[in-house]
Amino acid sequence: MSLDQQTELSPDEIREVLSRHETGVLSLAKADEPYAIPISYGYDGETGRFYLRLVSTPESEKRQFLTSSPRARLVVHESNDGSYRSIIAEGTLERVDPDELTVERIVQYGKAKRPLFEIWGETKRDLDIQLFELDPETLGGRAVELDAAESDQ
Amino acid sequence: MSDSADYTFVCPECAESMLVNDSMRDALLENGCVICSAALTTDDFSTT
Repeated sequence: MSLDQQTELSPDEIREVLSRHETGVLSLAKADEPYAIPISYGYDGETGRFYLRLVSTPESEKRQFLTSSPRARLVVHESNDGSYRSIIAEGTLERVDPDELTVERIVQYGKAKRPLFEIWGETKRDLDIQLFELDPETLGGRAVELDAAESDQ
Repeated sequence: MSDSADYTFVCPECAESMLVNDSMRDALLENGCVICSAALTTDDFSTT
């Protein structure tokens, strides 16, 4: 597959892809140790911000990567109708203090689905559910037409 | 949070509690608990 078969997605196309999905893979790092997890997100197409609920326990590995404000990458991808599209957002993951909640944030987290991948044995009262926002410093997307790529092979 | 907190909210599922005003109460009733997304009713709010 040659690189010229890839096309950059426009800001509107990126917004459309992010808005019709609700899950992605969030990658964090600590020194040279990587950590990637599937997450559910809400996306505000007007501000470009992602809203995430992340669940952890004091003993969980995830907790170790969520101290302070970690750098993060969020990858969302799809494949349908012969096209493959991927979006990469990169920025700093900022924790939202419940005392800083606003009507706007309540609405945005309402759009964020339950953490689909967060299946825990504990009840919610025993879990530490933290709110985060990702305001990407860079946001890019690419599309590949699979039929065109395969015809080269 | 607003300066004028009119209600104390306690989530029936995750037990998160916070002080909210009228507009935040309406938003929580419509959108669910902001922490755990549990559906809420007016019973989950008490006047301060």
